[in-house]
Amino acid sequence: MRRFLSLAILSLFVLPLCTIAAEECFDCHDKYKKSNHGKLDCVVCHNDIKDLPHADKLAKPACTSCHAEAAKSFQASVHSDKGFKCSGCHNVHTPARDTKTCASCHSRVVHKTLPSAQKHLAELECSGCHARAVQGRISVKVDSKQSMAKDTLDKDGNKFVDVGEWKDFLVHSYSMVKDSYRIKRVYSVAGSAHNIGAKAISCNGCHVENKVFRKATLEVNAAGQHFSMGLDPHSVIPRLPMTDLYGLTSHGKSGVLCQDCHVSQERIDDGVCARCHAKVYGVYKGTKHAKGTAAYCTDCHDPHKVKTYRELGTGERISVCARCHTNYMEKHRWLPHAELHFMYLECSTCHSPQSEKGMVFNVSVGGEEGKRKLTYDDVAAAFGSRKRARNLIDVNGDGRIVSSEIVPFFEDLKKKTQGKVGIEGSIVVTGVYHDYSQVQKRDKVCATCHSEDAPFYQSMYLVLPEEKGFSYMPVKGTVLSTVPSSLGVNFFLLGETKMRWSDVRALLGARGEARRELLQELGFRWVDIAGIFLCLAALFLVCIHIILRVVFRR
Amino acid sequence: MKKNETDLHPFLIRIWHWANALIVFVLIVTGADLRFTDVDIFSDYGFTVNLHKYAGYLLAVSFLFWIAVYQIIGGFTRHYVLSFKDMRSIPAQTTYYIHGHFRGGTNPFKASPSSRFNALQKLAYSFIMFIAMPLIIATGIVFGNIMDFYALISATGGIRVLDIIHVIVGYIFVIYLIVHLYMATLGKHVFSHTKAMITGREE
Repeated sequence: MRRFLSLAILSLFVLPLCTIAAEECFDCHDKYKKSNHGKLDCVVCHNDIKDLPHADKLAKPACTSCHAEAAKSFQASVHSDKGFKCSGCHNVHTPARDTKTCASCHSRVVHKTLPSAQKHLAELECSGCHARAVQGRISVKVDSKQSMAKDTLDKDGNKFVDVGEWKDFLVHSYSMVKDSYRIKRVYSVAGSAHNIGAKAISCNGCHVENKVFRKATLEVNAAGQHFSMGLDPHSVIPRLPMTDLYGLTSHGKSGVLCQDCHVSQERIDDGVCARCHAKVYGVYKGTKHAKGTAAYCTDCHDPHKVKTYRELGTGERISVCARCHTNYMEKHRWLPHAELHFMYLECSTCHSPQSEKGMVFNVSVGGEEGKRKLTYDDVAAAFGSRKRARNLIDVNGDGRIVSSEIVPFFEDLKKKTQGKVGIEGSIVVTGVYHDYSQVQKRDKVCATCHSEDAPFYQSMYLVLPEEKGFSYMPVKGTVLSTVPSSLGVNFFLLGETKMRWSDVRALLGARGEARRELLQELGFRWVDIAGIFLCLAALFLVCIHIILRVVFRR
Repeated sequence: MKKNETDLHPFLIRIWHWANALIVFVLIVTGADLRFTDVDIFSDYGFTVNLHKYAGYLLAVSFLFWIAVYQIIGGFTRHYVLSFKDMRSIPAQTTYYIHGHFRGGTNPFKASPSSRFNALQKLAYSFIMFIAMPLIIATGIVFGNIMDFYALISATGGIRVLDIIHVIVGYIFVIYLIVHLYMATLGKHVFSHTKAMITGREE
């Protein structure tokens, strides 16, 4: 140990004496004087030179001996993976300014896939998005010619301006201060150029998760006043509501990229949507909504929503129209039970007559814990087999449910589930026709829907749960009307409630099995037949009485 | 007042009767328009619905007025509740309408201010006023305010049960009206009863 220490102390004094000074090297290599490493002795890197003149071929110096950290970062980078060395960008014998920049190699990158590319490229360095583990900060400066109280920005007095406060401030500035203020935003990032990843940071990185710009400061200079406070970075980096869930949206699923629609910072106009939705736009562009730009596609459709329009419930669909048509309830005062109708109908049902409509009937069971949708386990438990629900109801397997099949099925289900079984019907618009201009042509006739001629009558389905997914059994509304009322059938429309001459004619014209089926499907319409018959009978008796009075002169 | 005339119908009852008649007429016409899609009396559907709805509310007011009037003038039980004596008179009254009337027999019942209705009339009127009227008014009010009574409707079998009760009672009213209008012609003269309901005096 003592020997090792002595050797170390000796080497400290003796080795420098053995070093070759840079000046000696410059005698031959004076062009390297201005290099980035010019202040170092050449032998620091070329440590295989022991004497001058040195050998013709020297070993390659190891950058890692001094730049260990940078080298470590670089080894993990995409450039290292591609086989680049330090010398690929750095020439140690030339001035620092000659170090290659990103643009030296990537001169033709146009960032086609970057939404609002111009804005991003103007504000950020390449490493801001492409380097790993980037840290950045935002500095926002507000210069105003008018004085400004602190609480104009920091309303709650916590010395921090949140997104809401910032928005309020912008509105205030726009309306009150007008042109006499200026806001400057500086986005600075300290990313290592050595650690460039294979992929750039996603939109989410800044616009949702806030990975880069964790801090923002706000500095205000207003008519001599000067103050600063913290600022929520999302005040100046718009939070994108859906980027994290975008993959789940119908656009995301079908491979539409952000930049396919966000071609600029401007609002997306209908032309962007029309590029893919040409057929729909072809209908829409001539309608009342589109004329005079009363409504853009995106006013009604949020392309960032995970739920597609098809998946929206009645209430959600109504709320889309109600954004503008806020007084829709008032306008529908003429409609009997308007609130009730709006529980089951969406605006398109009536206001877009050419839309494709259908009706679905979901089965619910109610127990102590409340009403819920029927599950396949309920069906299996009730019927004691793992048969498909559609086979349990469609006994003869003809793919069509008749009254003699539906009634026993629901009666058995009710008995065996020992709960309240119900059928919930709702009308759904399966294919929206984007022309809502025919608003004045509505006829306000109940029989448009409350009759067998209703447009959705041609596609009515009873939804039954299966082991995987659901069965959609085509069914006639009149068949459902034969279901006993004790089952809590929660719908009231269809042909069952309005008697028509055509019903009577069909009944009189039918024979045998067809008549039996029609009679079963009469539902509560039998009341009208019985009622009219009794009224006629009363009139008949009155007539007989009158005749007898005339005959007997009384 | 002539010698052989009696004051049969009090003034307030006559007012109620004709007001009620008008309301019931409106309700039957609008009801038929709403019920039968092949019938198109009023072209404005919203107008028909509202007319039916508000005429229904008037019917409820008229019903309360009828009860109030009888509280004032008295004789409610006497006129409408079937007594044992009334029950015994049913066969004779029925026979009169079916047979005796044509043979020139006299009506076994003689109306008086203390007892205006015969047993069959009492049966019909009490059924209409104590059962049918409250039922159609109650279902009508629920029908007019479905969302307010949604829990009650669900508990009692849904809207179609409510609808069917309302419609059945509606038909009962129509049948009653046919018979009532005809029976009104069975007085001394064809319009005797009608006239009595206007002047209050019956021969």
